[in-house]
Amino acid sequence: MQVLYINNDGGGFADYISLAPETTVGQLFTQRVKDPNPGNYLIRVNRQPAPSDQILREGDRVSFTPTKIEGARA
Amino acid sequence: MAITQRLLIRTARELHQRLAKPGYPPAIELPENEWRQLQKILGRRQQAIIRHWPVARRHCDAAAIQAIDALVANLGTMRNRLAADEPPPECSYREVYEDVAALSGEFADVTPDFTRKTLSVQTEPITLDGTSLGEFRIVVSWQSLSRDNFSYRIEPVDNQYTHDGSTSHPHVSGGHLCEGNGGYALDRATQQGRLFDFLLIIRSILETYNHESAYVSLDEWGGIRCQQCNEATAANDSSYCHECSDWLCDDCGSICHGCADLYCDRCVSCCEQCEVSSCEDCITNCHDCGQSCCSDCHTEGTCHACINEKQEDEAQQDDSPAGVHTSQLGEACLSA
Repeated sequence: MQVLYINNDGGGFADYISLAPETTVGQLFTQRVKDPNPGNYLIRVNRQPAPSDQILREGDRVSFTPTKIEGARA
Repeated sequence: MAITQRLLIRTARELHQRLAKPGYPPAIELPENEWRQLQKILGRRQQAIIRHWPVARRHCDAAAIQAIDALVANLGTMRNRLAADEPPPECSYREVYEDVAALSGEFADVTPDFTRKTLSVQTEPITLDGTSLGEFRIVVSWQSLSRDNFSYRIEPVDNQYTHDGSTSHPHVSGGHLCEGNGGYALDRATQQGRLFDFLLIIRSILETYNHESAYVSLDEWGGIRCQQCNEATAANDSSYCHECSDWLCDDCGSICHGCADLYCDRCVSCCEQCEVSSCEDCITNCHDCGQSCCSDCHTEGTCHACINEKQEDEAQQDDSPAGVHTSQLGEACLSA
């Protein structure tokens, strides 16, 4: 099963990845994100908020965006 | 306020026209400066060996190791960029449409402006470390929009929260957000035409405070900028010049020796007799010598130095031989 996986942390990443069928949002998060706390991320499936037990489907768009990103001064 | 279906289609069409063409990531450049630097150091090291300068050689060794580390770090960054440089996904009209449609679920207000060619979204009120900054609008201009450049501005909805009337957020200056750690992710979202992610990343930056690198620290937020040293200070620790009304922090300004009021450096003068500060009203120019003097250093407009000088002259006259006055050159008055 292929999903578009987007990680807006650090350098940013967006590409299609292969997942086992019935993979949940929580499982993908654990596999891909170092931070153990999903509460630190805006988790969206097809641009909508998604619970961690939501099962992903072929062609889904999954994005993880940190809720805190440090800005700077110039 | 949610965007209507008709406006949504029109906005998505405008944006897609500009985002359909793929953008190009910035070219990867070899670390030639670091390489040249290392070459120079190694040249100096060789000279040190030939001339039998062991201390200079050790300095060159240390500098060369540092330059090699910098070169390796630079090559590592380059390697990571190449490894992560996946081809951008296609930016279809449907993707753009769904991005714009989903914004209503994330932001308090989504407003396209076809005259200004902008799409603006409004955040919820933002509070950082207990300081309320109010709501912000992120205004994306599609006039010059491309997958190389998402041009946008940050505008405060209500100016009452701004610091000193000009800075609306610790990481925003003149409408420009300093993206800090979000820079790379924003670049990637730009190149791939992912407007939805782009705006979520900006919102996350606005909702985060980096105290080590802020235009204005939150500790100083709501304070007053000293017009002498330009440092921000809490309103309680500020005062103003009694002459020109400029705000002054605790460390700036001078107390007038005469009236004991506070003045900025431009509105006080220094007494040339005792060197204390005095305001224009409390300082006088001596009638005799013209020097500035404070209230303690003059009597009826004559500075104490001139008074002393006069007294000394008079004393000398008193000490001269009795009955002989030399008031006019070449004359001598004799008493009867």
